Amino acid sequence: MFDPIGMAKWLEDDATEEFLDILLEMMKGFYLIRPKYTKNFTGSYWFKDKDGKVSILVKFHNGEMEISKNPHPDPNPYPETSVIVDFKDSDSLRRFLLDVKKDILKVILNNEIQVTGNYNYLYKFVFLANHPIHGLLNLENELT
Amino acid sequence: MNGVTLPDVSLKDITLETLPRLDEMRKRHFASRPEICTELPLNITHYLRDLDQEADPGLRAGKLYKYVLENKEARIAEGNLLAGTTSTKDIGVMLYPDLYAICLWPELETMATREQNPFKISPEDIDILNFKVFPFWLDRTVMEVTRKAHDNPRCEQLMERLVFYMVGKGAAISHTIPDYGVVVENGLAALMAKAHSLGEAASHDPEQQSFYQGVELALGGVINYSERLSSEALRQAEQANQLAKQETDPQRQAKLLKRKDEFQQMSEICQRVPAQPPRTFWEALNAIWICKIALHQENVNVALSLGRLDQILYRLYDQDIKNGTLKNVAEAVELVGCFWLSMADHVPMSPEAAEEILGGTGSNQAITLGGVDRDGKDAVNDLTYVMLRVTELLKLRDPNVNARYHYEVNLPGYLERLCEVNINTCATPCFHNDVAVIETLKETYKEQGISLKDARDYGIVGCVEPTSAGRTYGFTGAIYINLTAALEMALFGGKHRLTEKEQIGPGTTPLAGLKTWEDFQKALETQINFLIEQAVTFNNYAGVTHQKIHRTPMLSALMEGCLDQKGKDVICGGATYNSSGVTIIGLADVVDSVTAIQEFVYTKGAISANDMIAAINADWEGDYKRFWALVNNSPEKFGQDGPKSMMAKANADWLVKFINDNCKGRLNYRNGRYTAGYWTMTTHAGFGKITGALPSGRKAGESFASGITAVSGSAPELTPCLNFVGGLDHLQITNGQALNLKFLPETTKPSAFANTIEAYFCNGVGKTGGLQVQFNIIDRETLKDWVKHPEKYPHQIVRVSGYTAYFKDLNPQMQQEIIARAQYDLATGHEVP
Repeated sequence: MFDPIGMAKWLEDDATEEFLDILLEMMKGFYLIRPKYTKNFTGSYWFKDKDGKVSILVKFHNGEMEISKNPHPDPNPYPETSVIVDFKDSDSLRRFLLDVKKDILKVILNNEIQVTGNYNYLYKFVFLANHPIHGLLNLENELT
Repeated sequence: MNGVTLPDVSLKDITLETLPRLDEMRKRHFASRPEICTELPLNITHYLRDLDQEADPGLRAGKLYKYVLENKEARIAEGNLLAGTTSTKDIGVMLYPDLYAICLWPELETMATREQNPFKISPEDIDILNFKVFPFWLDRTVMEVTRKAHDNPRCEQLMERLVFYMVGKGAAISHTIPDYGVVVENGLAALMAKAHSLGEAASHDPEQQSFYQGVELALGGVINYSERLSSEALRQAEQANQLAKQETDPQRQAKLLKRKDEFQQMSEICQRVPAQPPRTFWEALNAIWICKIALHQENVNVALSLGRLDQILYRLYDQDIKNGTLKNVAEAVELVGCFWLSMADHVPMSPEAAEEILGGTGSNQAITLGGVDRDGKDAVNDLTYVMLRVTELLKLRDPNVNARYHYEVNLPGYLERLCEVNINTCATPCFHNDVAVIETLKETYKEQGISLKDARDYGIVGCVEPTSAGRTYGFTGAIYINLTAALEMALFGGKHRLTEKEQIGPGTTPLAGLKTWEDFQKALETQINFLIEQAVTFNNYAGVTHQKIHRTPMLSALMEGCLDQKGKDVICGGATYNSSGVTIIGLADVVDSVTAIQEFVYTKGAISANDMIAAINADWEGDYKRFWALVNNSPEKFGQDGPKSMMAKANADWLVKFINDNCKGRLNYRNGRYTAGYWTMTTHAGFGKITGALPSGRKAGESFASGITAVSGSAPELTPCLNFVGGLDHLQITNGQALNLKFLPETTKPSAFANTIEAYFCNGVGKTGGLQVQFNIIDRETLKDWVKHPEKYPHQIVRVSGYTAYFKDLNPQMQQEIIARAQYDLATGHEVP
């Protein structure tokens, strides 16, 4: 059975290779039913790891969130892409996006994450990534 | 003969018990938590998105701020005698959507519960920011406009790596002192009339004409706001009157009627000021306060300082005392106390990540007392002592009180009183050496034709930076350079350990390949030059962006030079004097590091270059402990004076001169020069936390020394420490310094304390000593108790590195840094463990 609260907790606490896939799918599903956060928003994000194993382009447009894997033959899509996030591994990306242990500064300074592009779009994305998780965890608190 | 007539300058009979209003306001202030205010970002966004049709930046700014002020809620804080509030909250977190408010987007739903410095925010305000404000600014903030204009420049990318330098332009146009004298002597209506007539005369120059028209519009907005404050005060007077009629308890009824009278007076005051010149001390304070509120709508309050208020307000204070408008000095203390508390009605916004590097900072609004006047005469007056007493009673972190002392002119009793206040508050004021500062300002602004009178008329900006008050746009906090980053790059051939294999700076030869000490010096100079060059480039780019999209008509109206002389906005170079300030973090650590390299690698050959690199990479552990002992035990250290530390002194002199020469050789976007200073706020703790071990023997993660202070433990004797810093060429320290010392309270008596400062300032007969010094009068054990029991000590202030902060608001690293600072027994002059 689908356990959204369990997923939210897992995203906050753990990270595997599938972290980004699962986070994005969760976001996609959430904002399908809560479109006010993404309607009228246009922005694109390219997440790629330093090993070249992960390359995911996320596009927001007209209320829709499109996820494409291994999208770009062009190695330098900036500035058409709002933000490019190069990350060391899933754990670095999780700590950067979900800010569970306030590790954002550390991941940047330790070179685990490199960001190219418009930081304002990144701030929006981080809100979008965290909002469903906070909502689900608050729901758990209310239910228990 | 100065303006001091008070029989007892301590004013000790005036206390919070005798001034219950201030006591209550202070308690209420400390019981309030900062809360996000969306009034300003909503008004700015609505205007620019839905109403703006103006192409000219000067006119756009004038119309924008007119709209903002005409739509600003007119509020009077509970119990206050001054009308007007910066925000709609008791302590408002001010957001500037065109600058850096958008950094808070990730935290909208978590900022209320974050560990460090939480901000309250209502669900309605979360939605306002999420849906009505931030989306408009995605591509329009100053940082993004700059990035696009220069195709994601390397200098901006380097800044975003955090470890090399910070540039303040994305956050603010601030760090200056407006001319409040013109508000008190002329009023805003006269300024509007001047702007109007100058605008008409400038028909040949459309840009200049737009500037004047923008100023006129913005000032009209301020007057509109004050008129609505007047109406609000009248409404509250009527309300208090109605409540009094219904009140049966005689005491409460008397209180309500008294408050009714106060509201009526405030209504009359706001009807008059700041449009007309104030006639009384109370009117003058409210006039300045309303203008400050207006300036807070235009720009982030980062070190938007007050200047020499004891001079500007003295005429009216003296008049009112003599004619009985002020019944006694206590009434003046109460009014100034209301002003001090008003200044604390807002805080700067900071994202949680920034708390690591800048945690605990307030707005750093400096106020400057004492010193000499424009003619070189003793400027200390009764109002100086009134303001000191208020500072002593309220113990707030803002305003940041700075005291000027001229050892040839000011009386010793004044210095002793300053020391007394310092002891009683533990942390404020800080002390500036008039002789040295005036000399330095004359040299720094010589090219711009500064007069001796203007140099004498200096005020302190923000933390500790001196500029000629009301006529200098010095943006003294423009750039913060992490000097240890340049050192790393000199050691590692242009790379930094944090950025690993990436080539950051020029590919100089790494330490192991540098054959001589002179070769190493050149490598370090190359890397310092690179960092300064990159930071300056970005600052100049961002400055041009501000010129295009974020003009400042209100600040320009209150800055000498903009209206009368140049017909230009402050940001376009309208002020009489222009500069941009750089401050350097990590000076003592770098001096100690390069000295260790000079002594042990190149002079004695006791440590090879390869071993030095291996040692710092191993954090001085294992096989390298013996090297650590060598380095650590050497007397060649910043802060140790005399024949055993000649290398350290020479290196300090070299670096201070090199950095200043490098800075002043560069022009900013307003045709001013860059200045160099040594004050660090909390960045020495933040940068220290992320920096590895250094050749000085410093271990990885340890805080750097603050400001221009010696590394804790490296200067065991007070007098040599003062001589070392006092012996640096102050003409090369052109953007202020913070020498942070800690004295044991039980050994610190006012007269000995004053003698120490006097000796440091004089540095011997006919010489000039250090520019500045500031103190924490507190011992380590007490500070540790503050850490263990924050609930018992919620409002203790400490001197950080320039400004004062509440100890409990500092992040743990910064608290530990203050605890670890050398503490001196003033009686013996020795450092005490």
